[in-house]
Amino acid sequence: MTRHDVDRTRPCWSCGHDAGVGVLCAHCQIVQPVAEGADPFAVFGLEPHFDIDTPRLERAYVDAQRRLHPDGFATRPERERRLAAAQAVAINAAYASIKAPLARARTLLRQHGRDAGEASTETIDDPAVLMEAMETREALAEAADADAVADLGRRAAEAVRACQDRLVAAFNTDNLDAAARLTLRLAYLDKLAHEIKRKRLALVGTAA
Amino acid sequence: MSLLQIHEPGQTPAPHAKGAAVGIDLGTTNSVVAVAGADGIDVIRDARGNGLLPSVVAYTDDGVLVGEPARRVLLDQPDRVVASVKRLMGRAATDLATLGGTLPYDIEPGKAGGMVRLRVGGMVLSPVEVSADILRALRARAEAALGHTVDRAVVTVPAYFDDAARAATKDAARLAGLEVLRLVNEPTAAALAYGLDKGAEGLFAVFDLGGGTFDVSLLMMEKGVFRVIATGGDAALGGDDFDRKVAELFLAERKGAVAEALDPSDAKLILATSRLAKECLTWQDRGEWAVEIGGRMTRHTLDTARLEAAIGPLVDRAIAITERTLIEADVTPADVAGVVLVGGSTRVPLVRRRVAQLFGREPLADINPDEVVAVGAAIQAELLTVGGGALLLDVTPLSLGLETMGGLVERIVERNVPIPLAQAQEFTTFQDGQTAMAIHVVQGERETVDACRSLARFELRGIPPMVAGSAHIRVTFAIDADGLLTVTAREQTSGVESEVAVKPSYGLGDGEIERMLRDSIVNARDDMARRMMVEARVDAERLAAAVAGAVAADGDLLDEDERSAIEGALVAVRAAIAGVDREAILVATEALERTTAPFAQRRMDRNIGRALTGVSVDRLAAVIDTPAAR
Repeated sequence: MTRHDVDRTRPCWSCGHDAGVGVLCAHCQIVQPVAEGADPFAVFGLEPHFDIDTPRLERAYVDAQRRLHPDGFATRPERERRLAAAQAVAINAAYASIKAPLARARTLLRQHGRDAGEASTETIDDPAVLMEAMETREALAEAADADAVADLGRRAAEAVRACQDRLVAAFNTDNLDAAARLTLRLAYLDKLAHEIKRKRLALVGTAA
Repeated sequence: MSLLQIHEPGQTPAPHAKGAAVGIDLGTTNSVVAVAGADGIDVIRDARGNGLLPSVVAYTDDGVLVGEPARRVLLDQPDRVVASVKRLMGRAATDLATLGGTLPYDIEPGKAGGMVRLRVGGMVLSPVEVSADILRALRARAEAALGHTVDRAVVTVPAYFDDAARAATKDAARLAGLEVLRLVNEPTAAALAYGLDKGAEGLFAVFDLGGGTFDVSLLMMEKGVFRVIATGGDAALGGDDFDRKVAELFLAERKGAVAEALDPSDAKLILATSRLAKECLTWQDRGEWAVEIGGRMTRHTLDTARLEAAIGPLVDRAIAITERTLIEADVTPADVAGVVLVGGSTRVPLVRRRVAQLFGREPLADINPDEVVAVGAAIQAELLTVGGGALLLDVTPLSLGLETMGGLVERIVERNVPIPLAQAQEFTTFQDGQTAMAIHVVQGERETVDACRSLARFELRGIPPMVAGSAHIRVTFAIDADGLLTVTAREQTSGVESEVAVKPSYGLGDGEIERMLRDSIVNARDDMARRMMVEARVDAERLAAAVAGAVAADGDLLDEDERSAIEGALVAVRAAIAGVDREAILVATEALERTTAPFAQRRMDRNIGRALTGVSVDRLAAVIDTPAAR
């Protein structure tokens, strides 16, 4: 159990007994309201690490949706349906906040009270990163065919992977300054990868 | 994130005993209803074994006809008939594709914005009402087959349907007296059918080209879990567009000295001919077709090469969308374990070839592409009402955002994100003392508002006067499991809360729906009985006319007794038609059919004999293969 989870027992809205801390009442198994501010890692039974076990996250996500997806409540009373829908929404939100490496890094930084660099005013001051980004953009503008763009895409993916490896090390050693810097770098690399993808999409159907 | 909790609880009482829940594929060209039975899913068929109900509605003086009878009315009274109404769901007149400037619909003029209204048989109807008539017919078909009330359904929609079209579909079901348990995306329903019936596992692509819409979805199917990874499509690309291309070829050939002005009825008829021509080229190499407009008849030859040249660019479009969807999901064609074909337009050989080429494998069509969506919907209806092990996790098909300064879109919800979901973003005021904020919700992938689809506009009022930029207005987009959107806005700092549930501007107002519901409840019983009577009557009239014609043409095949028996039966049918007793009509029709059966057999033998004279053996094979002879 993590620090976000403690002292949260409350009476069940349906049976009145102590509902416990789960999404279902410990006594009557009726779905409970969403607990605000829950740790998204804990939602899936994971420790708050950057280096998570992805298949385990996927399994836990599917298990959670199995229990709470609105489809399982179609014939239940209105209030239960609404609560389950809200729980399913919360599961998707928690999943979205830790599934992609960039989102996960930001979530961890926020949990450590750090600015996660999401504000658009935040700019990168690492000249090497800026130069690299500029070069990639130029290459992208010049890339005429799908093969050239795909090649840039592969290189961008490698850079993303390398950055993630360094993030693992930074978070594992609790080096939050480095983690914050690398997260910003990852955001840049992600944006580049996104632009490359957009160019790939735009090229579909143009060649013979 | 607990936005969905805020609404009033307890609006619906706990469910008690209810009727059966069915699965409905409300298609552009055909609709299908299916239900989970003791040994699997049954597509509910008519007396002739046909599971497809043509999505055609005729508004005749005698009442409303749906399906095959309505399609027959198209030939005599095209102004009374509406086909392909699905293309109008949640649409404005300016959204529609024309045939040489003419629509195959008679649109009520003078209505700026909002969903189109149709003029048909002296009435003005919304596409929602026409769709409701199709749904009523499906419901009646299911009730007749099951022998009890049907009041709940899973209804499928194209994955790429926008919010307005989804809301319109749900409204239509309500009008038809059906509680919608869930709107399910068509490709997802098809995948469910393949996954559960055929045990398909792994990454699957569903290529769904119907009469009016194109969807492509990528799904991961594992141990009863169906996760949509990405979806793409075009809500205005389908077999109807193929027909339009063929019609344009025919019209170009007709161009004489004068350009022809088409009216909506001409457009409907030539499109119907074009469709037939296209369908025939699925099993033949060429065919000849007659087109008559304004009393002038012309003949046109169409072969596979010309057809494929005409529709090629449309097929290219569907293939390009499929390629983009793969890229968006970071998947290559080689990663895909199987490709499922859905929708009647995937019968077009060019479509099959191009799909096979793209994926480097033969696509699957072992569940009837016309029925597979309804089968999946029935599976989902059973999962929702009875339960089962499968879980469907779907995604948003289109991005959602708000208009910001300069007509730009601020995206709030991305596409291909799992639903249900809630996403919030904060906005602020840009003028000192500003007390209201206009919120314009748009859907689409483009950066500017005018290139996206406008879904709704509303105002958040009562913001306390503050310095520009100090208000915190939190706008939340919530999308439920049906893919339907609710937008709420509230000012945070002042504690002023103002929530507005979005009514799509293309949908129908609540008042309008209520009026239609009242009308339909009052009229439902009469309508149903009347429709069944009228259908029987139309069928009887056709049969009587056909028999009279056959006796005139091949009367020499009959001896005296037979001839007088047939004439007696004919008189009985005509007498029954004059009345309003459906049973009497049915009895007389059946008697006539029985009496003429040997005669019909003899005529068929004679005609085959005639047809075979001078026909080579491979031509003969082609004649026999042609399923057009029903």
